[in-house]
Amino acid sequence: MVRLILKTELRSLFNYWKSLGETKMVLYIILGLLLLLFPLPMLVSVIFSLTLSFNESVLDGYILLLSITSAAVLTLLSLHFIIKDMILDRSVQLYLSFPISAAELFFAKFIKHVLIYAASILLPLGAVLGTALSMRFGQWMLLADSLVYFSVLSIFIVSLAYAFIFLTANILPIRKISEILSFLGAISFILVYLVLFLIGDAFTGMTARLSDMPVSFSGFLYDYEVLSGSLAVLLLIAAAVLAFKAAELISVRALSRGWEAGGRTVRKHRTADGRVRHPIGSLMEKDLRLTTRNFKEIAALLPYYLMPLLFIYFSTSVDAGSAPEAIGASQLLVTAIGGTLVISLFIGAYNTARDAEHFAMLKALPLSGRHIAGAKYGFTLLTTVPVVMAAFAVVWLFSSAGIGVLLQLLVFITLVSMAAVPVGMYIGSANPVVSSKNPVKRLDTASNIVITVAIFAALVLTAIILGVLGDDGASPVQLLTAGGVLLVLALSSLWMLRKVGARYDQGFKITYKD
Amino acid sequence: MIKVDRLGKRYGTHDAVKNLDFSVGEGELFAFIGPNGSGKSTTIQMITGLLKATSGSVELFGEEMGMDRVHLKKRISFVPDTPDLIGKLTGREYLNFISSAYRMDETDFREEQQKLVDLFDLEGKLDTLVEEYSHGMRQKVALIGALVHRPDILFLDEPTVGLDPKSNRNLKNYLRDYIKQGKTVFLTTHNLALAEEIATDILIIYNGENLAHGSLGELRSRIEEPDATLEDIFLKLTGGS
Repeated sequence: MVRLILKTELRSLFNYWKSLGETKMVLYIILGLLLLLFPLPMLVSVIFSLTLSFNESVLDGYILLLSITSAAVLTLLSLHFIIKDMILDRSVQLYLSFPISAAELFFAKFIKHVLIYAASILLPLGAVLGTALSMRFGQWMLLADSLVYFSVLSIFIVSLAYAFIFLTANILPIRKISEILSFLGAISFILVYLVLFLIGDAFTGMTARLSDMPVSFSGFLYDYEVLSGSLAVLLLIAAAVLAFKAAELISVRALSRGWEAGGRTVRKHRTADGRVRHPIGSLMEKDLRLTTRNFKEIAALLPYYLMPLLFIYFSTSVDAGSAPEAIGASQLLVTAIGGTLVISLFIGAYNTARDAEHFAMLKALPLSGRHIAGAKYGFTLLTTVPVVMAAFAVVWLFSSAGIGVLLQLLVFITLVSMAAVPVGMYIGSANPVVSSKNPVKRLDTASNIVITVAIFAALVLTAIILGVLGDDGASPVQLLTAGGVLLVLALSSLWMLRKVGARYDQGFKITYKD
Repeated sequence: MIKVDRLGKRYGTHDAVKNLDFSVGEGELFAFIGPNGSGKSTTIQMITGLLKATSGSVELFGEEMGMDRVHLKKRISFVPDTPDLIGKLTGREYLNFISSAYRMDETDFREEQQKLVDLFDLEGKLDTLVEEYSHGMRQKVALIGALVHRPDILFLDEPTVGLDPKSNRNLKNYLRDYIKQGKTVFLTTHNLALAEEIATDILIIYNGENLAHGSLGELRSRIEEPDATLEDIFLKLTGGS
């Protein structure tokens, strides 16, 4: 039965690949080849050179660091995909409606998940590390031990993910766990940069500190000894069996009992009963609930809210040598304009495209496109302007600019947002996407390209304006001119808002995916 | 109330609906029945202004219906076969949203909502997120949303799917009373027993065309079987038996 399930899963994977279409297939193949050609050889050579060059006294710390880092990343990844496969896709319920036991299903899925989400990365890593260590110590048993070690680590990672999912499924709604994980995924790029920055900066120190931990791989992964090596392998295999059995016990119990009805109480959201509001207020409230009640929404928007930091970083690196404390008035103003433009464009587009999901319902209601577009405009401004203002107010605290500049900042942020949000809404209403598998993917390729081009244009413009202004800051005439232009743009973009309203009236051209 | 004139919808080379002609008057419960893929949902979407017709026209209350006819939408309601509710709102928030969209009077809304909540046994269940509801619960909330503002025309596409027997019966009785008050109901269903029981007028659509139209008695006469059930008539006319 386990083989039958695995064969079905393999067939399903194969069918998914076939259904991708030629363009995507070619794109994925090129991406795969690029990975094989560039980052992979680089990674292999880094691991090789580090393994060969490190002092023997810090080898334990080095191997431990590799293990912890890869385990942390792969556990997050496994959690995300196992939740998708075991819970959200509902294929488990389908399997269990056939004469298949929960234990058989768990076993088959476990094998699949270990192979795809852990071993596919860790075994090549183990092979590289093992080969390097074998060459260094002249003991080929180290390669076998390394493979055993990373296989066991793969089993640990997936066991941990299973145990976590099926234990928490009885406490928290699984949908919420998935949303939280997506949120973590979205901010993980910041964490990755932070970790790389910290590790890059203090790699040797961290490795040395980890070497002081009471963990030793000597005799097993390096400097091989028959007795300790064999004992370690036996212990690891026993630990892997235990981890697997624990995960099996928790998961099979939950699957047999029916995890969805696992005794968790449905959360109540008390709201005022029978409250009738103005339609625009009501539409804005709906948007607010949709955003705040879904971590996936926040996760999708967060990178854009953090974009001003990139602009600040970019502008300070243009002005080489200046420390963050020395950010001047020109830098603040120009980066605020660039950052607000990007945020407003994207969030305007994203919020508007979100309506595609409920467009049939919206169309059936007695609401004019003007009302819906107006509410969307208001909601986007309210969720964009204060956030950007707060971010730049914090940056202003660390700058050399005076209070007058802060006031100018607040005015410019408001005007730019007023001008850019309708343009973003226009982009988002052009061809929104509704994807059941990836609900936050709402913009089509063309809209994404337009926004990406706008981001780069804003970055380049930021650099050019900074170059023109120099260190002396903007003159009053320049400020007034910029303010006047922005005011005209903000007022004329209301024309764009009417176009968006017309699109709501005529109906969106929605692309349904998956 | 509803006037459909030579209505047609073409997708590529396929005619989903062809030259459909009929009208529905005040106080009627019009059953619009047909096999799967015969064009029922397409027609109902065109009548409610959610889909643009390729040819012909639809009039509601003597005015041409379209996607941007807000004042006409205010007088109608539509419950699709798979209700499109907003999962991240609670049932109560969804109903508040609907009442705001229809600009209802707050007192009327509260009274009407309470009646409907009792009718569908939803007391104490409105404060959980819609995404956590069962299909039947979603259907009930969608029905309350459609009925709460007491529309002049109510469009229902398979309204009884997922409803428990008690709610099913309550809905049936509610609709009977509703048309007695001069309101109009346009019902699409595969539940022929329900249509036979409550419909005042029936239209059978087949391959996008009007196959038969009239009261139950008129349809019986057409197949010359005075005791035939609607199921017998339907199967005979559509070649099902």
